[in-house]
Amino acid sequence: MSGAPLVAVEDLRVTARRAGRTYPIVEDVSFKIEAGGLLALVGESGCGKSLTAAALLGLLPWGLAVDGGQIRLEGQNVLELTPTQWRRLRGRKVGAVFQNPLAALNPSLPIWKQVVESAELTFRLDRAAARARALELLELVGVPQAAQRLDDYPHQFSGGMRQRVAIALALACDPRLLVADEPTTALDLITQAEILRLLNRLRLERGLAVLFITHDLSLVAEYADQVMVMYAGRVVEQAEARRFFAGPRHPYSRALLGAIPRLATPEVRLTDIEGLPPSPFEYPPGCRFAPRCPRVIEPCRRELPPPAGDQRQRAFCHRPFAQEPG
Amino acid sequence: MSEAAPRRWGFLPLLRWGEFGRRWRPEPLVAAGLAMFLALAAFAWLGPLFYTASPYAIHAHRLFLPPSLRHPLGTDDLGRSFLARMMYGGQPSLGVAIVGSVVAMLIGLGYGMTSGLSPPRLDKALMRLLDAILALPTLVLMIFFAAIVPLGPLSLILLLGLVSWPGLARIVRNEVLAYKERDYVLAARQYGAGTGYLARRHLLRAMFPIVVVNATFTVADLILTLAGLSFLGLGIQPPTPSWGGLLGNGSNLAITGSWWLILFPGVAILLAILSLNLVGQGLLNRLEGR
Repeated sequence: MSGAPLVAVEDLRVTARRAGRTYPIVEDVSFKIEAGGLLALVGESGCGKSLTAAALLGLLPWGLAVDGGQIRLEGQNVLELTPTQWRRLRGRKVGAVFQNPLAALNPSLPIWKQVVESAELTFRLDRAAARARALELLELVGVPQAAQRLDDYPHQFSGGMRQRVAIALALACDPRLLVADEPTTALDLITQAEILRLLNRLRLERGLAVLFITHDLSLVAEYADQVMVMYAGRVVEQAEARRFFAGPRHPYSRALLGAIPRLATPEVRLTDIEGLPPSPFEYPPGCRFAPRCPRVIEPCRRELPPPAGDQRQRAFCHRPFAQEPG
Repeated sequence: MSEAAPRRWGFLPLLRWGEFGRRWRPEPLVAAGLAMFLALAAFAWLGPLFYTASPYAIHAHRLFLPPSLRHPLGTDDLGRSFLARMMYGGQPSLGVAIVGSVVAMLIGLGYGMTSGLSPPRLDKALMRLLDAILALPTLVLMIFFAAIVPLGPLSLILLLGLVSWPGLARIVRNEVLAYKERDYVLAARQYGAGTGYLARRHLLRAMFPIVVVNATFTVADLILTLAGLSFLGLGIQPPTPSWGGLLGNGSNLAITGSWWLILFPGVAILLAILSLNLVGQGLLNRLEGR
């Protein structure tokens, strides 16, 4: 850890206003990503992982707002900026890759125009420079015969190629942070692996920080250097990837890992988690996982769990599993 | 700029609807409707080049002549050549409706996109206002305006445009709501594109198909409205011919047995509306069938 990390989020809080009251949707989310780091943000649908990303991207939907905490990009707290300043800066600092590569591209524009759209806006490129930049970006993300494909439209690309184009688009302004919100969910397994390898290469070669959002832990096991698990708007466990995969300490993380089929060890029963996550408008007091937790004890239902563990692995739990050597 | 010309027009979704881009086949309905409509337009604008009789010259010695070789569509109550009047009558009927629909389209597009891109509360207010406007019956509104504004092609264009945009505005607004959540629009917002830029660059072209379809139907609608107004004596003022006016005049003279004064303008209006509805429906099929 040297100096200020590239991305530092502290106590981020996103609230919704409904019938005159504010409800916290995401609370106390803190994390850091170094240049070249890859943080995997994992959780069920509706646990707040996409909203955390939306807050970073300035894309919170109407009615939701960041209500506290800090988002520091290269030391600067962007929440202190005016909306216009932040808007101007955003394209240069943060890039986004979305889930569905079909919807992420405008069907009625040739791809080269889309890839450099943000760069054109930000750096006022002329047409020739923009085309050159588009070619450079498409080659960077490994689109074969990029020069011949500049004028093609999105429907002329396969799903994996479209996602590569979408990644090129996100990189057009040389952002320092790439937020990838389930970028491989819509793709087949082999393409998933290719896209992951591409993201991994980009972060290692270019020092890009990556926030990788997924509900599939197995996907990131190989590449992530940190894992953060969210449940019902709160972080439940945060750890170095090696430690985490050696033995998660929070019962929820365990349950997530237990739900992954393994090829190497047959005859192990997959576990599931009973029930559904609570709605943000009726979070239980105490630990939010308590109603579904197999290890629940009395304090869980009353008090927010304190962090257990050290910097390298921290679980927010009253009764965490023991730390594994790792 | 070594770009080939087709690329510059690549955004025209009519010619390039997704996968249809590279192998565009004309939709049969669209082709048939378009051919019909162009034939009518040619009749109105090119016809007078070949059939040069004046639509205004009165001949007291040949009133109410039925169609014959000399007078292909007969003559009217003042002995004017009915073919010439039909040709010249098509110009305001079609022209005013087309330009009026363009006016309606521009207003509707502007209003709809503004509403769709506004914060939810303003959007709701704009839509309720639209409901109020939609609640006014078009024809009554037109009769009201026609009573206070001098009637001519220009004022009719503006009037028709001003009363027929709300439907399109609502459609556009709903499309904008759907499109502004698309990932590519979110991506543009993420890197800092402002609302105006999003509207111009991404949303406007997405509106193109639905607007073209709607404008087609609007033209048909306006032809009918205009004919109705002329029929009531509120549209194009005599002696300038228009199909609606001719039809109205003919029906007043029905007692003379001059069937051609009713049949031909009626058929012309029918064909114009039919052709446009065919085009619109064909485009709609293509749009939805994808």
